[in-house]
Amino acid sequence: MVLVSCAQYGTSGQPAPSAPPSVTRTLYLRNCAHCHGADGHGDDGPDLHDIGWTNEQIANRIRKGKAGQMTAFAGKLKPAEIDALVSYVQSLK
Amino acid sequence: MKTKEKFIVHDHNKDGLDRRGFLECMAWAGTGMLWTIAGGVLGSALLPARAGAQDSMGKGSFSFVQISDSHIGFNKAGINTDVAGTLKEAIARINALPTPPDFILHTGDLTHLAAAEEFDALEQLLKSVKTQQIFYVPGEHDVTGDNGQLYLQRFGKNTKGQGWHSFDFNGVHFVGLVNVVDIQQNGLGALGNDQLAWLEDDLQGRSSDTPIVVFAHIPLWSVYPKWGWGTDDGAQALGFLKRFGSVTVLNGHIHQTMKKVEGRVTFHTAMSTAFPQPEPGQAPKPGPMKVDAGKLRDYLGITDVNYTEGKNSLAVVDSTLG
Repeated sequence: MVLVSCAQYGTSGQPAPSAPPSVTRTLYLRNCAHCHGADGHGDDGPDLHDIGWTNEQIANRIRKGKAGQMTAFAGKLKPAEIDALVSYVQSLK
Repeated sequence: MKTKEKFIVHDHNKDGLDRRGFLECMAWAGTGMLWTIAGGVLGSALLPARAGAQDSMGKGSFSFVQISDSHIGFNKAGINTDVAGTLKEAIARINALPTPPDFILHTGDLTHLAAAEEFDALEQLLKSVKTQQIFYVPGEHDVTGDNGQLYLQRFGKNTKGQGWHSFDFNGVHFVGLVNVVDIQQNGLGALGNDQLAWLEDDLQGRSSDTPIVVFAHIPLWSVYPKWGWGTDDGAQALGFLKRFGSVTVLNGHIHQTMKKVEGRVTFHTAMSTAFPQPEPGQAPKPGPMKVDAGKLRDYLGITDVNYTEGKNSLAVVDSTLG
């Protein structure tokens, strides 16, 4: 099991520029890829490239999910992990 | 069959099998065809013959049912807004079988969002199945967010690692594998070194004439790697199984029936009880497939498996809810 240390990301709500790409990628593959595709171009869920959302909008969706369609990750992922995923999604161009 | 659909569209396994033609045949099978596998040779008979097959089942013979991809919690207009309802229909099909199955195998994606209430709902629904026991392996939807901890608490008792396990039933050895936790860079599932080592050890010392049934969520064979429909290190697991005379591999994940025979190994994927997915490569991407509401149940179903002692064979029957 790979767990991501909070210390690698800083505090919740802030960008996580120090997150090692490989760790964030693993986090994405384990939690997001089965719906959004390993390449982020969508599967069950939508394409994540250039979605035009703010960091807070993405973080909110990750935390709260979408009824019947997307897992609510609040309480499952650490705030720093959510921050890392926000940065990852924003990097998909 | 339409002539234009007889050509080989995809031949990922370089075996000359026409996937589209095969799917058509399997769709036909889904309407009531009995497939018999003996010594790696595929045979078939019309489903009504199953009653006779049941009658001829002797002592030591048994049956079980595979269900898959119930996705409790999924709710999408135009696809399926009542997955609990379609699972109940699948349960009714099982309970209507002439002989109650000795046990059920659920090959993963019990839930859609890995939420506690979804796991609870599934557990409650399956209490109405007329059978002795239910064995599970997780799908990737069951391990989201917590690496499967919630799943393991409820369904992973007496399993090892991320939920892998094995058991024997009337001379047949069953192995449940987990290939959904470490999704690879290419999107494929993976078993991992720890599980492979356990599998090798689990099989060691078993006589090569022991019938083996392996079940896991993502297909162990490369169905369509572009969509992640395969297991990156599946070949290593299959290598451990090569010496056995009869191996049946049961998977879910792709929400449609597919069968492939390779030597003495028969691969079979089951329908979902929740929603269908497109045929490999026949849509821009995988995912829930919209079908006419009146036809949804033609794409959902269960898999009934019968083992007859002494015949070293398993008969696999897919039937739709439609």
